[in-house]
Formats: sequence, structure tokens, C-alpha cells
Amino acid sequence: MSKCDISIEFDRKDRTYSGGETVTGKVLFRVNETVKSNGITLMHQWRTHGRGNTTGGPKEKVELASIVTYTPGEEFELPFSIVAPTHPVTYRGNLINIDHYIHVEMTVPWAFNPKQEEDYLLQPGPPPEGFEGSRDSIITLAQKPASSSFVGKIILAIIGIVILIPIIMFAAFLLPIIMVIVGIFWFRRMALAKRLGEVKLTIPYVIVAPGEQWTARVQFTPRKQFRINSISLTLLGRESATSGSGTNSTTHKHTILEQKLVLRANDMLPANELVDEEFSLVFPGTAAYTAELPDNKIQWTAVVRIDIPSFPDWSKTQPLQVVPAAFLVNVSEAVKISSGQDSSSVGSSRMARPPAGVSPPPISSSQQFDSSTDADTPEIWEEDVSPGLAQLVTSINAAPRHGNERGDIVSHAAGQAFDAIIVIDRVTSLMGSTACDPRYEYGKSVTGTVKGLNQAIQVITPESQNDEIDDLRRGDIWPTQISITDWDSLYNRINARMIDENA
Amino acid sequence: MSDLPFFHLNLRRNPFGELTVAERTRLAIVECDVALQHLKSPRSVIQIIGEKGYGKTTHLLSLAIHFAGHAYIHIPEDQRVVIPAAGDPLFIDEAQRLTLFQRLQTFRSNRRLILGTHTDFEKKLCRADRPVMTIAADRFTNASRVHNLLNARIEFARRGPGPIPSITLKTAANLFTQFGSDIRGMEHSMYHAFQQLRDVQDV
Repeated sequence: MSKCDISIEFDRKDRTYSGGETVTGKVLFRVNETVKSNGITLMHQWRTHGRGNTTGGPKEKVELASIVTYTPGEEFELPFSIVAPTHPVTYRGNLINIDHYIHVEMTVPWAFNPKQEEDYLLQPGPPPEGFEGSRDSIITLAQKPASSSFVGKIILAIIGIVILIPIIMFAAFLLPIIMVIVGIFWFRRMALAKRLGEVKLTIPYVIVAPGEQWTARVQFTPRKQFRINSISLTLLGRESATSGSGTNSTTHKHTILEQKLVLRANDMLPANELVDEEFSLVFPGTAAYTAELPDNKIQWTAVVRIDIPSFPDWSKTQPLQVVPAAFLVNVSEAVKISSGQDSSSVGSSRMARPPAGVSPPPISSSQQFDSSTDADTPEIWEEDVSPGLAQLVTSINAAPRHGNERGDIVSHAAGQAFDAIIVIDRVTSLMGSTACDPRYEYGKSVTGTVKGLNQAIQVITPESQNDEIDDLRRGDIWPTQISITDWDSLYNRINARMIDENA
Repeated sequence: MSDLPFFHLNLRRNPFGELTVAERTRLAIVECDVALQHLKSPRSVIQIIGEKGYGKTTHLLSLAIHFAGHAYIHIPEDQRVVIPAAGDPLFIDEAQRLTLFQRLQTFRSNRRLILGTHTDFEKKLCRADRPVMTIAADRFTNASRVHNLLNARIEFARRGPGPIPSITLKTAANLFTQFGSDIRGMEHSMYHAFQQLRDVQDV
């Protein structure tokens, strides 16, 4: 039996906190033997676990008690309160997991220290400190390596020169081989330039949030007529975990997602005619946010390829940084792709096209923004919101955030139909999951807020409406009819289904 | 609560993921008595020989906890390291990567040595007039030991009271047939099995 039994209790039963929130709870002690404690400390830290070598963040310590002697049978509790970090958030993957821990340890001289550790879940909250900049370039979240001293820099420079001299001497012997390899690359590059001209790849958002609209554009003017197999974009998400070191090190890889989008296939490109192709997709909903941790990496890339038969292919790989949508508040928008043909097809401010069978007229989000200066306009929307839905949301807001009360309120309204106007946040494909009704199985999931009520909502739409739903973009206004299903306590939102008028 | 990692198996994590050095040391099942007896002699040397994944490092770590004033170095591939001047005994992991000069210097020193190596240095050490004991890292590896090792890993990842998955003796025997003494290979195989596991059950 241990000298002292320790248990940790969180104030929230689900142990779920958002970044930057205060994590509170208490540590319970039951003393089994007389123990002179030199202090009780609480430490919190994030750590990885899985196939890669374990890595973790800085250990932050809080002293809960100082030197005390405890007697057998004594029971006491110490409250704790710490501020949760903003990143990395909890992640469950195949090779990599990231978790946050509270560790409590009683220091006992000349004996094993009684200790206990518990994990909690961290959801995305406000952006981490320093996550500022533009969305067209990756923002590093990792800590900067400590800068070396002046003497250290000189030593490093000398070591570098000493290593470089034999390499250069060795390279002189290999010069013919190096020249052949360089020549092959140069020839390949020139051959592609001669055929394709200058290829311009524009990716406005290198920093991207799951579920948002994402675009890339490739433009070039062929110098001669030629056939292509395809112009494609492959979106690749991958976990990479390294275990062991030296000869014992092995890097394991797991593909989270590989999605290929082909814009042109088996086509003839005429000479001197501009090829201007835009890839536009809803970035997949994922909790696999980009992470560059030692031995544990979650990486996203977009590979654009022009596949030419019997000729070298042109390709370019662009690393992407996938972050929670909440992290984008301090990140400025990059310059959007300008299209001479249809500027409304990209970006967030565009005309919403309501799905077939939905009667209210289409209203653009730009109208919505314009209306903010007109005090009368919002009332038009509020009239369109079902009074029943408004009443439901009022009841939800009056109930406590944690506990079952909100879930109970919504479950009483389950099956009821309401008119709702939704401000779109994201649209994702269900891909056969979530819905038990076959009509909705391969439909879409639309998340956003109920206009005029500012209540988060997720609406599952039937597969028959996919074409129309695909046209919705972030910020669009979508009038629809919904049937309430249940309450999502994790995201604090209503789950509903779009009423299938074809049924 | 059910969103906590491996909550459905009453575990805190996949038990066959990578461990920290401290965790590996704590979980090592190594018979140290004979080696500790041998190390009572001055200038004595223990060399632990075995292939990749056989448990050489685990042996070294298990012995290291018995010596407060020890020095421990691991020589990464294609790298040179400085041999610490102080510390007795001196633990060298991947000792086959010592440079010739380092080897001569270390073998002729008066410090007790504990080497983890792919290469047998017994003759060279005897020439340096050192009492040598050679231990094969896999000497006690059999189906029963594999069974104990793997179940100890699962127990270590336990979340709370109640049942947890366990490895049967039959599975341990199959793993021993498939992987021989390569404990790391077995752990990799079991990692994937536990990723797929949905309920507490025997594996």
C-alpha cells in the first residue's frame, strides 16, 4: 500500500476545456502511514503518445502545499486552478496522440513519492500568442531554438569549414557525376518551360481551417500544342512518427486523407491559348491540425500536377498549415484570386443559391453586411425566423452551459419543424457516416449560426440537395426548413435535419 | 469522459506505443543479480550482446539504476560522442560505434564498463586484462517471458480499477514464433492490434 493515496477530480465531469480557459478541480489525499512531506506540487504539461518517441511541452509547476507531516487516516483536499494552454489541442490519431495532463506529486524524503496523473481534453480556444500574420504564409508555432553565443558561433563556423573542405575535395572527384545529374534536372526544366511556358500557381490560403472553402489556381500559356493526361490537385494529410534513434530509428507514416481533384483529363492544349484552371473545394473537416513536434508530425500538402504523356510531369508541392477556425481571428486575409470570368465564384462574399424547393429569394451575404448599417433590415430576417425556434433558443440560453439541461430542452423539441435562416460557416460531406436515414447518408453537413438568434447549428441535408448545398460558401445566408434532432454539448449547438420536401 | 484516450479499454493510451527512458526502465524485466555480482570486481566489464530490438538498452537501463554515480552514453549512428571523464561504472550503448582511439582508451582505463553492443569485444577486453562477462540480451526470452512482458505493458497503461485487455499465452507463443527475440517487433505488431480493439477482451 502507498503511504498516501492521491486522486484528482476535475470540476467538469467531461474534463473538456477550451484553450485559455481555467481548469479547476481538487486533489484528494488519504494518508495511510505517517508521512513527512517536503511539499506537494502540481504540474501540468501536454505530451504525445503513440508510435513516435514521446515529446512534451514545458512543465508548469504550482505548489499546492509546503512542508507538513501527515498522520495515518488523515483525509484532506487541495483545490487547484491552472490556465490551459492554447495549443496544441487534444488529438487522437493512428500513430500520434496529443494529450494534456495534470500531475500531482508529494515529495517524501528517502522514499518513493506518492503521485497521481490525470488527463483532460483541450478544445480549440483563442489563437496562441504570436499567431499573427497573413494567410499566405505559414506561421511557426514551435519555440525558437536558443541563440548561440558569439564564441559558440565561431566554433560552429570553424567546425563547418573543417567539414566543408573534405566535402568540396571529395565533390571535385565526383564532379562529372554531379554535372550529369544537374544537367538532367536542367534539361527537364528547360523542356517543361519550352512546352508549358511559365506556370503560375496561386494559393491564396496556405493557412486553412477545416470545412472552409479553399482554392488554388494554375495558369500557363502553352508554347506549343500538346496532349495532357490530366491537371490535378492532390490534398494529402499525413501523420509521421519516428521511434528510436540512430540505426534503431524508424519513421512510421499514416495517411489521414488523400483526396485527388482532376480538372482536365485526356485533353489537347492548343498553343498560345491561356490555360486558367481553378481548384475549389471545401477543405475536409478534420481535427488533425498541423503539428511540427519533434518525432511527431502532422503535415498537410497540396500537390498540383500537370501530367503529360511520354514527357516529364510538371508538379509543385505546397505545404499547408491546417489550424482550428478560431485561430484565424488575428490572421489577415491574403489577396484573393482575381478571376476575369467570375469573381463571385471565389472568396466568401458571394451570392447564395438556395436549394431547390426552398421558396425564399436568394440574398447575398454582401447584402447582409450592408444591412448592418440599416437598422430596419434585421427585422425582416427576424420575421422569417420561426417564433418557436426563437423560443427554443431562448430556453437553451437560459439553461446552464454544462450539465444535461440544454440537451433535455432540445430533446423535447426533437422532431418539430421550424423555418430557419442560417449564416453558413462550413459545408462538409457526410460520406456515409452520421445519418441513419439512407436519404441523408451521403448528404452534407452544414454548420453555421441561426440568423438573428446567434445560435450555432448543424443541419444534415439529404443527398438529393447536394448540388445546391455545394454552392453555399462561408458567410452565405441560407433560408431552409429544419427538423430538430438533438443537442451537441461539445460544440454547444443544435443538431437538425433539413426537411426533405421530395419525401 | 469517453473521449479520453483508450477509455473504452480502461487504458490511458495504447500500451505498445513508445515509452520514455524512465518508463522503459520501470517496466524492464531483467535478471540483474549475476551481473551485479560480477561488477563487484575492480575493472570488471559486462557486455550485453544482441540484435536490434532484443533488449540491450533495456538491460543497460535496468543495471544503471543500481549505480548512483554512473555515467551513461548512447552513440548515435554516424556520430562521435565525447566519453565522459567521470562516472563509474561507465555505460556505453552501441559500443561498436566507438572509434579505435576511444576503444583503446576506454578498455585500458580502470573504470568498470557495461557495454551494449552488436560486436563481441571479449578477446579485446581480455587482452586489456579485464574480467569480462558476456550476456546475450535474449538469453531468457521465451513465450512465457513474452507473455509477462506484454501484459506488464498493458497493466502499466491501466486507467482505473476494473478489467483491461490481456495477451493470452497462445498469442505470446505465436508472437515468439513469428518474431523470435525481437521484442520491439512484437510491440509494433501489438500496437496495431490495440488500435483496432473496440472492447476489453483477450488478445
